[in-house]
Amino acid sequence: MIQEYLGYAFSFLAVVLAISTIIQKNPVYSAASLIGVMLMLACNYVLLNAEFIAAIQVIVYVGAIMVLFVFVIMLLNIEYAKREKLYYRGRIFGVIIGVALLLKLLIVGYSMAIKIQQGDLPVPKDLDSTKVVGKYLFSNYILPFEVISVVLLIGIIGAVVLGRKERPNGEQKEEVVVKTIGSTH
Amino acid sequence: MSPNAIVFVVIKILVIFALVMLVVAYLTLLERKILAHMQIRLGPMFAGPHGILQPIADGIKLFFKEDIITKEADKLFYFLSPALSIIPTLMIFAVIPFGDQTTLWGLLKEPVKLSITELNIGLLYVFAMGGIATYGIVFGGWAQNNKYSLLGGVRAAAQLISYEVAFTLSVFGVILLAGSLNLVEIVDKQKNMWYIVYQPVGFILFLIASVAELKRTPFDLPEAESELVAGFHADYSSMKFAMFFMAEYASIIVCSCIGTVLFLGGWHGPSFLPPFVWYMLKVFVLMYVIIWLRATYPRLRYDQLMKFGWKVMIPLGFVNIFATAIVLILVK
Amino acid sequence: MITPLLKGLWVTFKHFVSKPITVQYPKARVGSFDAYRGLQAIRRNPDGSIKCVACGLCEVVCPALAIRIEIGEYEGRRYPITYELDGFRCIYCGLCEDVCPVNAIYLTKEYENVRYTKEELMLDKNALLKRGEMVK
Repeated sequence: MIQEYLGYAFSFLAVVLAISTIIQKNPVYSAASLIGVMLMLACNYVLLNAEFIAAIQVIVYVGAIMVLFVFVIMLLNIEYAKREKLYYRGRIFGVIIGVALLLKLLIVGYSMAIKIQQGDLPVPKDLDSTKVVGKYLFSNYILPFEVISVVLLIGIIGAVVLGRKERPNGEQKEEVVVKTIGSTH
Repeated sequence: MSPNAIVFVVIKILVIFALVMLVVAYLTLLERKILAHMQIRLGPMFAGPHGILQPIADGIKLFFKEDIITKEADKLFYFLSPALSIIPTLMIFAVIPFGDQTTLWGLLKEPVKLSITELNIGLLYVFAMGGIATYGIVFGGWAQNNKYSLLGGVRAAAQLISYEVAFTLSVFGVILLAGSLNLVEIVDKQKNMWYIVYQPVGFILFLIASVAELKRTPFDLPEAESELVAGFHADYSSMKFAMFFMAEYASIIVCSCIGTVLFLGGWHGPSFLPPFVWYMLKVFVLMYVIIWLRATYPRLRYDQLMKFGWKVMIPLGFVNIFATAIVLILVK
Repeated sequence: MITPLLKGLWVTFKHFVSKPITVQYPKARVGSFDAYRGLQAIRRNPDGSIKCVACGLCEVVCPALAIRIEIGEYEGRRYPITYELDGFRCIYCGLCEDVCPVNAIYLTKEYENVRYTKEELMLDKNALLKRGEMVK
C-alpha cells in the first residue's frame, strides 16, 4: 500500500523535474533537474522490484552520461539559453507532436491496463533480479542484445571518426586507428 | 517490519555513523602522522600527548570559522553541493558488512548481523552512490563562480568518469569468481582463499582506480594546491568546507572497506584474532597504503592522467575480465 | 616503469621506520654553532665598572649606524655616558667586536631575538651590561 503511494510521489516528482528541465533558463539547472528525473525513475524501478535496473539506471545515466552533460555545459560556458526564441520557432509542430504523444500514452495506458505485478516472462520467486535479467538477456533475447551491441559499436566507431582531428595528408590515419582499438602502452 | 527490528536498525545506523565520524576525524591525524614520519618529521605533537587531540582542535576551529559566500556564487548549488558530496558517501555504509554476525558476547539472545542492510545488488549500489557523490564536487566547483574552482570541477568530472570505468572493470573479476553482487556472499566465498590471490591484477587496478576516484595524490588534479589554489573548494569555508573534507575522508574509508570485502577476505583470517579485529586491521592497512602512495608520488600531468586511465587501466581491466572468464570456464 | 615506482615506495617506507630528526623547538633546542653572531653584550672590568673606554670606533665602523655613543670623562678616564644599540638596525656583521681595542663589546650566540615591543630591542648601556652577565 505504502509502496503505491511512494510510487505516485516519485512519479509526480519526476514529472515536475522533467518540466523544470525544459523551462529552466540556466543550463546547469536544467541538467540538475534531469539528474533528478533519472533518480526518481530509479526509485520507481526499486519499487517495481527491479533493483538491478535501478542501479544500472543510476550508474549509467546519473553517474556517467549526466556527468558528461554537465562537463560539456561547464566547459563550453554556455550563456543563458534564449528560450523565448525557441518558443516561437515551430511552436505549432511542437504542440501537435506533444498532444499526440500524450494521447497515445493515455490510450495505451488505459486500454492495455499495464499491470505491475506480472510481465510476459515467468519469474521464479527466489531469484534476484540480476540473475533474471542476465538469464533472459543471454537466452530469450540474445539476438536483440547482440544487435544492440553492434549498433553501439557502430556508434563508438562513428564518434571516434567524427572526433578525430582532420589532417591534411592521410599519412597518420593508421596510427589513430591502432590507438582507438586499445594499445596498452 | 516489527518495531523491534526498526529499533535495531536505528541503533546500527547510529553506531556506524558515530564510528565513521570518529574514524574520519582520526584518519586526518593518522594521515598527518604517517606523512610526517615518511618525511622524517614528527607531525602534530602539542595538542595532547603525540597530538591525540588535534582532530578535535581542528573540528572546533572549523566550526567557529566565518562562513563566507561570495557575491557572484550560485546560492542554491553553493549550499547544496557539500551535502550532495557527503550524503551519498555516508549512504554507501548502509551495505558495507563489518562482520558476520554477533551476539555482543552473549548480551543478545539472537545474533545480529554486522551490516545495516544486505542488498542483492550491494556492489552496484556502491557504484551508484559513488556516481551521485561526483555531483557534489562538480556542482560545487561550478557554483562558486570562480575560474579556479570551475577548472577543478571540470577536471573532477572528466577524471571521475574516466576512472569510474576502470574502477568498475577492476572488480568484475571478483564478481565473476563469486557469482554474486551481494557483499556478504562475496566475503563468505573467500573463507578459504582471499580473492587477491586469484585477482592480483584486479586488486592493483582497484587500488589505482580508487586512489583516482578519491582525488588523492598522485591523481589530485581537481584540488591541485599549487596550480588551482584549492580547486573545487577554493571559496568554501567553515562547516561547508568541513563537509567536503569529511566526504573525502569518508570515501577513503569506503574504498578501504570495499577493497577489504572484495579482495582481502573481509573478516576471515587465522583464528587467533577475532573477526572484527581482522576486518579493521585490513581496512587500516589499505588506508595506510593510500596515504603511503600520497607520500611517495608526485602529481601527474593532466594528459598523463587521461592517457593512463584510458590506454592502460581500461584495456588491462578488460584483459583481466577476459582471462578470468576463460579460466573459470576451463576449470568448470 | 614499475621498478622506480617500487623503489620510491621503499624509500618512503625506509624513512617511515627511521627515527624523526625533528627538534621540538620550544621544548628542546639545537643551540647555535661556534661562529654564530647573535645579539651584542658588553663586558665589565673585574671591579664592576664598564670595560668600554668610549673610543667611538664601533660607532664609526658600524655599517648599519646602529650604535650611538655619548662620550664622557671621569678622573681622566673616558667612559660612555650613554651607549645605545638599536637591535633592529644591527645586521650582526661583528665589526664592532673586531674593532674594539679593549674587548668590551662582543657578539653572543643567542638567536632568539623576538620581542613583544620595539623598545625591548633598543638596548642601552645597562641592558647591554646585564646581557653580558646573563648570556654567554
